[in-house]
Amino acid sequence: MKHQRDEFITELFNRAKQDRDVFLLSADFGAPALDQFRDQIPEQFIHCGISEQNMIDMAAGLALDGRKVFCYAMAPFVSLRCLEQHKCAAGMMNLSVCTVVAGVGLGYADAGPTHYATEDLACLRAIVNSHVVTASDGEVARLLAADAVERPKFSFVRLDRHPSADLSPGATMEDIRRGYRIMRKGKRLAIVTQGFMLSRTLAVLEGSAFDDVAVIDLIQAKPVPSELVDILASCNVIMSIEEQTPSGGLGSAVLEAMVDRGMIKPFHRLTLPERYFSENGGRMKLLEIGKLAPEDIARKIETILAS
Amino acid sequence: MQNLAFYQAKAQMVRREIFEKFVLLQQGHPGSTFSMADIAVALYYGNFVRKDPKDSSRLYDKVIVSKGHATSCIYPILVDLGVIPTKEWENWGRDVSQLRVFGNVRIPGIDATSGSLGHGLGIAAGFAMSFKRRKSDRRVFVVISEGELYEGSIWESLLFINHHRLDNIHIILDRNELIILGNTESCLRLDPIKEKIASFGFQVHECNGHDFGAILHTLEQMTSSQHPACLVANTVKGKGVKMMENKAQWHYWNPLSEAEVELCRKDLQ
Repeated sequence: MKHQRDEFITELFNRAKQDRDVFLLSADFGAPALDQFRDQIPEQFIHCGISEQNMIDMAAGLALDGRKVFCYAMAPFVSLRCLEQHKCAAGMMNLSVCTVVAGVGLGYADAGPTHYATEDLACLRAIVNSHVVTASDGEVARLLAADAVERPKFSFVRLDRHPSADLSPGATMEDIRRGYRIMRKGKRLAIVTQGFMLSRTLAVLEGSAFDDVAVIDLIQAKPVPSELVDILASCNVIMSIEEQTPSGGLGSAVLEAMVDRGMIKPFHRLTLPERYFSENGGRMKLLEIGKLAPEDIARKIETILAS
Repeated sequence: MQNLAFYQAKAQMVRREIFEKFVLLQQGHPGSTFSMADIAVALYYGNFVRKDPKDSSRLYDKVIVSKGHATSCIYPILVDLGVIPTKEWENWGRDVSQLRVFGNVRIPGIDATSGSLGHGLGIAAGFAMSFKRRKSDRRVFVVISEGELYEGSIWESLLFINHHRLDNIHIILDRNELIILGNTESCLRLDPIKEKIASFGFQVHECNGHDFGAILHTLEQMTSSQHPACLVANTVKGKGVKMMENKAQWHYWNPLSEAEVELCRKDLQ
């Protein structure tokens, strides 16, 4: 089991030792790997306090002086609290500022809705010039860090809070560069998903009677890779699954890409409902309430394949 | 250092040039632009903002006009110093030009895109931090408006700058006392500004923002100090054009008759 944040930051640390322009900024958010970074290369680390707005503005200043800047904090705050800083400071000047959005979806379920990042994808992908990628396992997180140092740009890397095993087939740098990885092949139904919902979807399909179902890990939700649309063209029905609210997230991104290429196909979206959750019980319980439990996914697939 | 008449003449040139451009464009923010004109002249012609020794068409130090609606104030200076090509200035409002009322980094000599208030100081902190870690002696000047003090991000940045003792940042607060709906003290009190900024660990200076002797002297003190510093420059919104002075409505451009344009031109002779 791997923590995505540790995989990401460890890779960043290894790169930063060779590249003195790599800077890591934290708005008081930690990780074991971050301790190694700040202990061993403190001159490339900045603690910004719990001040996300200043952190992003400052990242822009560092980037204007040629630095490759990584801003790290808890997903809900580093995405929406400083949304205008992302737009006006980093986005508008198209700077090499990569924001690491840690704990997306309902990762912080126990903390309540202030700590959910269930609208972040819609907000972040709306910013002009942004690249938005999501890790579905530790290896993807590690590769995303390597790619972010090699190809610095205005970007957001969305990480899950909880540790997980690497999924099969294992991710490669080629997957990262093209923005997706094919987990299963099929023609009757193509499921496009990412992050935590990918492992859940694969678990549903594992050992089930559902066949001829493709599963695509859409690592890069913005820009949507044009090759994805080519792949979807050969499938009968499309379905998206995401741990986000219904407006503007992954399903919207895929639909936009399809429609822009003139492709109209039956399309089903599984999302969280348009509400915040105040219930206790943790992430799995909330996903159950939100109709994203394994049974909900299985039922939806069954209905689609039966029609 | 030049005599005071030199700076006053440069400031009149800046106001005259930018006024004619606003007349041509029928847009701009004359109130805030004119209030900071003398500060800008002191910064550049007083050689606080130094030229790059390796390339005289570039500047060595950074200037961020965080009150982005007034950025055009420094265009005539950058043209005069050979940083912005004259053609760009001449074309503005007539033909294709990179210049805009609000500055952006595509314009030579503009170090940060600005417009939305409250970002410039944080960006300046990033520059300053980077320079410190490179062991570079580059300076960062950032001009903020008092209206920006309503943005919480400014106070986040002040906290950060003081903690890291970023003495290579020099803040100039253009205090013209007016925001769009009126006087800052009656809209939402900011005073005591000096004490508030000082309480964040800054060395705070105060002077008349139209008195070149005082501005130059204070900038000299600030740039030779090893302490984060802020100059509260008390200014007059619309300074230099009588019908605009201390008038909140001249935050934006307003239509003028030919006779009124001539009156303004007389003020700027």
